[in-house]
Amino acid sequence: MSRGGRAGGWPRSRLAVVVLAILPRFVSDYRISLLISIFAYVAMATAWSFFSGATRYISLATSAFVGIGVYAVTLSIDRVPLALGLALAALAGFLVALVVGLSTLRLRGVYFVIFTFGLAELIKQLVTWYEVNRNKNLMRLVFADVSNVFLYEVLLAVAVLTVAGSWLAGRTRLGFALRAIGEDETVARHTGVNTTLVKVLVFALTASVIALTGAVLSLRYSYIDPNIAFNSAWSFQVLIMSLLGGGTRLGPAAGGDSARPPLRVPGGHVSPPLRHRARPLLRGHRLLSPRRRGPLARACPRAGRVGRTAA
Amino acid sequence: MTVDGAGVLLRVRGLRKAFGGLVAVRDLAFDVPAGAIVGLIGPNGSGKTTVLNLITGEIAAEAGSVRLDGRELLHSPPFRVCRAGWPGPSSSCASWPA
Repeated sequence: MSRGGRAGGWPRSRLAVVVLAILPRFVSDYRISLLISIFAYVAMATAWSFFSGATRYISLATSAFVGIGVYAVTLSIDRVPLALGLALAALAGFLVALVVGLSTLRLRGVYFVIFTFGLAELIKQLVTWYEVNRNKNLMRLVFADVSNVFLYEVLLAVAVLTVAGSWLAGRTRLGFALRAIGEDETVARHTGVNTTLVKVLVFALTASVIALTGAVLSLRYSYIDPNIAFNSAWSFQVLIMSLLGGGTRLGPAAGGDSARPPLRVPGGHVSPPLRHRARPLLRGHRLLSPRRRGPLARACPRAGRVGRTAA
Repeated sequence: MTVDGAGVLLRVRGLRKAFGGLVAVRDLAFDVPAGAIVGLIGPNGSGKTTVLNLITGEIAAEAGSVRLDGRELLHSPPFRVCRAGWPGPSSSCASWPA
């Protein structure tokens, strides 16, 4: 965390990365797959929060970018080396987000939210139409010959680079420009920020991280269809993780970490009672705490105040 | 900051903006010399804010010319106007929430 002091903060996080990097030698396959999911969520929530948390443009297009990454790697896996396929997935996410960003980032508030959600559904329906009418098969098999440890290492690298990248980029002119846009876009524009460029560029960059993460995750699927690849649960889970994590640099990562087991409950995968699993979350939640600057608190500054007055 | 031959820092010529049938700014022209302190006054709705918004590029002007320091700014977006030396947000942009 940035406030923890640079001298103590960096070595500790480096140590954590080293420990995580050698961990697969010592833990069970189940825990490796659990950590794979957590790394994926950490990367996505951090990337999402870097754009949506700072600018307050709440995007529900996460599932669109995940799906684009999934299909990019599935379609290319038999034709090109895996590394190139993953790069293509990131590039596809970047390009789609670029086009989407140029056409939608003029929208503010709830209009942007609804549009991004609609966009994800639109792409899902288009892919479904293509698969049914052209491919004549809704399902595609994924023939990826990769081990769990490989996925673990790739996603650990993606997650670490995303967290470190968003931490570093947050201190550059770009990071300040993003926050200025979130505070007041008109003032940002009038104080020399090229708001369109900043918004579209960062939206596309974070979308490419999300697409890449989705692409890596898809390697452990046996088959995909549009409902799996473009599952809208991604959009909401990543948003919830960022809200729970709050506005600090490591917040979204912590949210991705802690939200993962309870969020599997609706799918019926976790046996302990929900209450037991969710308690640490509820205790530490930062949804509406303006002091800790959770994105929801920043997005609707009155919500926290209303809550306190009522209590 | 340099000025042109006549010592003019901001030169506005033929500035025009209509909202539908309402002509808010009609062929406005004025010069602001370097170092001068000037005021823009008028009754409510006479277009003072519109003039500032036209200069900063917040609103697109229909015709005219705005030269700051000799540089044409009329069709520049606000961030470029700011980088050209315009001193930042006008009164409609408060520094803190009202």
